[in-house]
This record gives sequence, structure tokens and C-alpha cells, in this order.
Amino acid sequence: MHRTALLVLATLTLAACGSKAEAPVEQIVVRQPGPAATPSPAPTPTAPQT
Amino acid sequence: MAGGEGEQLINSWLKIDADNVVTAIVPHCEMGQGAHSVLAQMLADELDADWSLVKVMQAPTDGSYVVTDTIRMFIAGGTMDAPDWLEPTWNGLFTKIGQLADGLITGGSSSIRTTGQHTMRIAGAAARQMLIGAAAKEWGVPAGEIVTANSTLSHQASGKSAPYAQFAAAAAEQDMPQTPQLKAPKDYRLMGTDAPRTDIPAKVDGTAQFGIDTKIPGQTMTYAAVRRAPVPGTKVAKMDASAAKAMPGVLQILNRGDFIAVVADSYWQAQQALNGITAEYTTAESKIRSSADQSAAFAAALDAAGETGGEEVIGKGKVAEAMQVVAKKLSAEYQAPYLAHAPLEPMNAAVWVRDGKCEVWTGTQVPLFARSAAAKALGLSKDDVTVHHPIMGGGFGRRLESDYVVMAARIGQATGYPVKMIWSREEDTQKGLFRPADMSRFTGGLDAKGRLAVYNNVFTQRHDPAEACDCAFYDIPHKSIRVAEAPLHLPFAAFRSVDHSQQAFFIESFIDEAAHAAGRDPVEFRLGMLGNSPRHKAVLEKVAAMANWSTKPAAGRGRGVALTQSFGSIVAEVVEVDMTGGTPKVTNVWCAADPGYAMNPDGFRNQMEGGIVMGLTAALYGEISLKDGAVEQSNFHDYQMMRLNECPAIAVEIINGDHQKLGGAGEPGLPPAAPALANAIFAASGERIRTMPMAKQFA
Repeated sequence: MHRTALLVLATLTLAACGSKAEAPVEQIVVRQPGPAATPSPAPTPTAPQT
Repeated sequence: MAGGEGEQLINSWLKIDADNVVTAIVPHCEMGQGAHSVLAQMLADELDADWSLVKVMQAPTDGSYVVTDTIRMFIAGGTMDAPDWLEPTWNGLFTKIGQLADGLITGGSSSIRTTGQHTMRIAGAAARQMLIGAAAKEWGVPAGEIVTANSTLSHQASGKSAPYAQFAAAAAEQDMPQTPQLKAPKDYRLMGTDAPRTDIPAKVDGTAQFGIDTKIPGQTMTYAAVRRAPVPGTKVAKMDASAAKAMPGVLQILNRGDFIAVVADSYWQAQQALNGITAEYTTAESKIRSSADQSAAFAAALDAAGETGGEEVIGKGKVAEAMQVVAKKLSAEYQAPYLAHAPLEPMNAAVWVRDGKCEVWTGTQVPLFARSAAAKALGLSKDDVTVHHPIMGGGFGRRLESDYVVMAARIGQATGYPVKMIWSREEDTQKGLFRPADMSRFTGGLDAKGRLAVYNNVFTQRHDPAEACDCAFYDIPHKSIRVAEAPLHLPFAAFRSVDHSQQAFFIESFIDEAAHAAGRDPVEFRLGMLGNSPRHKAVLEKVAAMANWSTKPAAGRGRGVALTQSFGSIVAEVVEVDMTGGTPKVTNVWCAADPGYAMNPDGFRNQMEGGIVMGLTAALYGEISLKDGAVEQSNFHDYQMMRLNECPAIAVEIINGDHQKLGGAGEPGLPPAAPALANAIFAASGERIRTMPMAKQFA
């Protein structure tokens, strides 16, 4: 079997595993960025056309 | 997906707009190899489209665009064909596997020979048939009397003619033919031609947008610089950011355990602040601290395997018995170092994590893997992560990994606002994933007629593809190829041509040594073993003719040859080197290649040339070395590329050996370059180079 196939199967296994977000060990917030970066719906960028 | 305003989606892979422009929807990623353009070319030929009216669009990162035929080739090991009655089931099975396994992959030099040949051509031919069906119905004429050319339908007897756009909507209502008739090579109009690449103009005028150029519309971008622990497997034990947090532009400083990040208003500010952070790191468990340690680990594994141990990969004949009766015994040991991929565009990803969702913009060869990796890191569902993947400034296998996407996602999770993470060149060179170092030992023997009768090889690294360790096209009666795996200190990533990148150097150097030991001309020696491999023989004869092999080079110069097969393409290269200055100067490279059929000969030559330059770079200079467990090199001053003034004249000729057995283009040009150079140096100087890189051995 092609080794990439093993990668595919490994991914299947990985997909079956649970996931967990971890908090940072240390987080220093100096300040917030400008007001333009406050959360709002993101326009979907157009797909690149070549 | 659906067509946009004024566009009609004919099938999943193409749409036609009101101006008669055909847009090919291409699932594979574009990293400079020309896949977007050539796949559109294959679709357009079967569609009988006007190439000047063809555009390319990157398919969305969506499970409906998995590359079924590529997955099928990877799993079935190159066997694409199934009986007609089984084909729908077979195809459905691999599509499902692809969807489950995030199978949207650009790699393995596979785009043309899988998706191009088995998806894009069929999509184009089917759409053409649907357009004809729609026109026949409207015009009330037999479909068989309608001809197509240059995106136009016409019916000679009635004098009717119309652009495709006129029937696009009606065509979309037609049943999609599953097995449309594909063209024979004699009928190709675009395939086999140097159709101009659609992506070049934007790259020339600077409007092309790479991942590193990402700006999220309407949002202020922030930038992250990152530093990981210098030794693989270690973590940040302590961070002092007191100076950095007072520096201009700094927004946030993160210690994420395995890396430190500074987020700032600009990338420069982020990197400057990062440079001001001091840190201590945990101790590595690996006992390998230096390149010498790594070599010792390889040697120990090979010593333990001896001449018969390790896991047998190929076994043929009776090696031990045959060695007892050979006329001349041979032995050699070769070594290759770690390599960094060093794409011009360093690793980067822009992310925006908010409201339980994550949006990612990044150049990647595996957008669905990247999506899953980001989801997993953030504890989100895959459906809550969207990945946009612009064109890449080089991939070479490095962007088959999603480590950098995960890092960016974890930074974005902490900020909650849009942030673009960019690795410095130093981070990219030192802390990435690498082409593995490797060591390979050969013993062998010549029979009384000077033929290679016994070939016994053991090496330490086996990654991909499985056949890279063999030279099956040579007829050698007794053969044993074994792997004795040894630990690697640096993490692995597939490098352009993967195992072929070092195995070709080992194998074709040894074959050359055998030729010289037999007192035979290296080309004649190889031809003598190609009785069962007519395509390989033709390629080798072609390159010998191109290089005027039978003539003697000028004094101080030497020519070396190498023959390989990788990713379905057969490639032979002759390198001429000038040693009169005491160091190797490559003056010429001749390359003959049989990819089955070159769909775009100019693009194929381009890939051979790129592979040759990358192969010569690795052969002459490429080395990632270790000191105290960390990578010593940091940037292009100490991880040197072959420069423009060193680049040899390169001539490439193509043999279209079998249009039904297509080979790849992106990788096969690289493997022969290093052994051909080593063999040329031997021919010029009598010095056999068995370890890469070569240039420093003459410094």
C-alpha cells in the first residue's frame, strides 16, 4: 500500500478522536487593536481567479 | 456550489458566463507548478473551448471537491482501472473515503495523471455533450450533425451557429453523461500544446495574491511573529517579556507552551518585540545532539542489520550464494543530510476566531486537513472552520503539513480578532519539518562478464513512495533491498520527490561505481541492464545523444549520467561539470524525460528545469546540521541556494512514450540531478563523492 494511504487512514483515526482547546500558559494583553477590528460579520473574500 | 450572477454551472467542474467565458473549477492547489492552468487546458480541450476565453477558479474547501482519483491512486497504488460494471461503486467508495479522510490533496505529482485525466477531461467532454444535446433539441436537428469548436456550436446544413453561452442554461438541464467519449491524441487541440498559463500575467504584474498578502476586507489586520523552542520536543519553561510589552505597536504577548507569539500592529513591530523576549526551555529527551550523533545512530542501525538483517523490501534471486561466485566484489556507503524546503513564501496563516467559529486564510497543499487540524486545536467542529487557500509561493511538500495553521489558530483563539501569523525566514529554516537525513550501504558483485550480478542494499529511512528504494527497471538477477530504520532527531515532512531525493543519489551513484569497476562506459553499462525496459532504454539513449555522450569533454571537465523513474515518469539526466577551478562548476545539464504524454510540454520542461535546479542546489549546498540539538543554519546566507550566475544551461527533451500511462511532472526532474553530478565529478576528477552536500568537500 502506498504510504500516503496510511496517512489517509491515520487521518480517519485522528478524526475519530476528541479535540480540546487549551488555554495559553501565559497571556499578556497590552492593548486592543483599533476599532475596525471589533467583531462583525466577515465578508467572504472572492476565490482567487487566475 | 452554484454559479454567480450571469453564470451557469454546467457540472461541478465548469461554468459558463454570458460572455461565453468558461471557468474551470480546479480542486488542486497552485504553488507555481502550473496545475491550475494545465487542468483547465485538459477540460477545455475536451469541451472544445476557446482557450482565450477560459478562466480558472480554485474549488472551494469543501468535501464535495475531494480529489477522488488522487485518493484512489494513493490507496490502490497506481491502479486506476476497474471493470466498467464496478466503476460507479469503486468511484463512490473512493469519494467517500476522500470525504472522510479530508482528501483534498495536492502532492505526489498527481494532478494531471489523476484529476486531470479522470475528472477534468470527463467534465469537459460531458459538458460538450450536454451543450450539443441542448442545441439539437432547440434547433430540431440530430445531435450527431452538430459540431463544436472555439466555444461555438454549429450545424452546417441549417446554417445555425451559437456560442456556448446561449445554451448553457439548457445544457445544465440535460442528464450528465457518466462515460462521455474522450478524444484520442490525434484529435487533441490543446492537450500537448504550450497553451499559455493563465496564472502568469498576475504574477508578472504583481496583482497575484498569495497567502502572505491576505487582508481581510473591512478589518484592521494585526500581525503575529512566533518563536518556538529551538530543540524539537522541548517547550518554553520560562519567558521574560518585560521589555517587549513596552515596545511600540505591541498588542499582546502569548506563551503557548510550545511557542511564544507577539501580536502587534505590524509584522516588523511584532518581530522586533519578539526579539526582545528572553526565554528558557525544557531539556530534550533525544540523545541526538549533533549531526555526528545522527550519523552514529544511522551507522548503528546499519551495523545491526549487517548484510542480511533489517526488514526486506525487495528480494530476488539468491544474494548470499551469488556473492560467493562473483568475479569482483563492491561496497559503498552513502549519506544525505537533512534539508529544509525553503519556499520563497515562508509559512504563514491569517485567522479570525470569534463566536465559536474560525476562518483561516493560508497557502496549503491540504486545505481540508488544515481545516480539521484547526478545528481540533480549537475544540470546534469541522463545519465551524472555513479555510480559504490562495496560491502559494512554493510548497515542495512543506505545505502538506498543517502545523503552522494550528499555531495561527491558537494565536487567533487568544486574540479573538483577525491576526496574520508570519514565520521569519530564520524560524522557517530552523524550526520547521525536514527532508530526513539518511544513510545507505551497498554490497554487490560483478560476474565474469562485468555485469552487475548481485545488488545488496540497506538504508535507514523509508517514508514515501515505497518503490523509491528500488531500481526495478534494471535487470539484476540477485537483489536484496532492506530497511533498518533509525531514529530521526528532526521531524519529517515530504520533500519534493520524497525518498527519491536521497535514494536516487545512493542508487545511481552505486550503479556508476559498478560501471567503473567493470571498466565499462556508464551509459553502455546501464543500457546492458535495460533489456526488459524499452521506455527507459529510449530515454537513456536520448539523453546520451543530446549530450554527445560519445565525445570527450574538454580537459578538466567530466560528464555523469543518472536514470530514474519516479511518480510514473522516466527521467535521465547528464550533468557536465568543470573542475578546472578546483571546485565543481556545473556547466550543462541535458534531460530526457518520458511522462507518457506531456499535456503542456512547456510546463513539463519548466518542471524538469525547476527540479534540476533544486536537485543541484541540494547536491552542492543543501545541509541542515545539528549542534546542541538545534538546527545550525538560519537563512539563505548559510543555507545556500544555487544562484542565477551558477545556473547551468539546461536542455530538456520529451518522449511521449504512452499516452495512456501518464506520469507526474512536479517531482521527477529532481532525483537524477545529484547522482549525475556526483558521477560527473568522478569522471572529471577521479574523486568519488558519497556524501551530500558536495561543494564544501572541495572548499
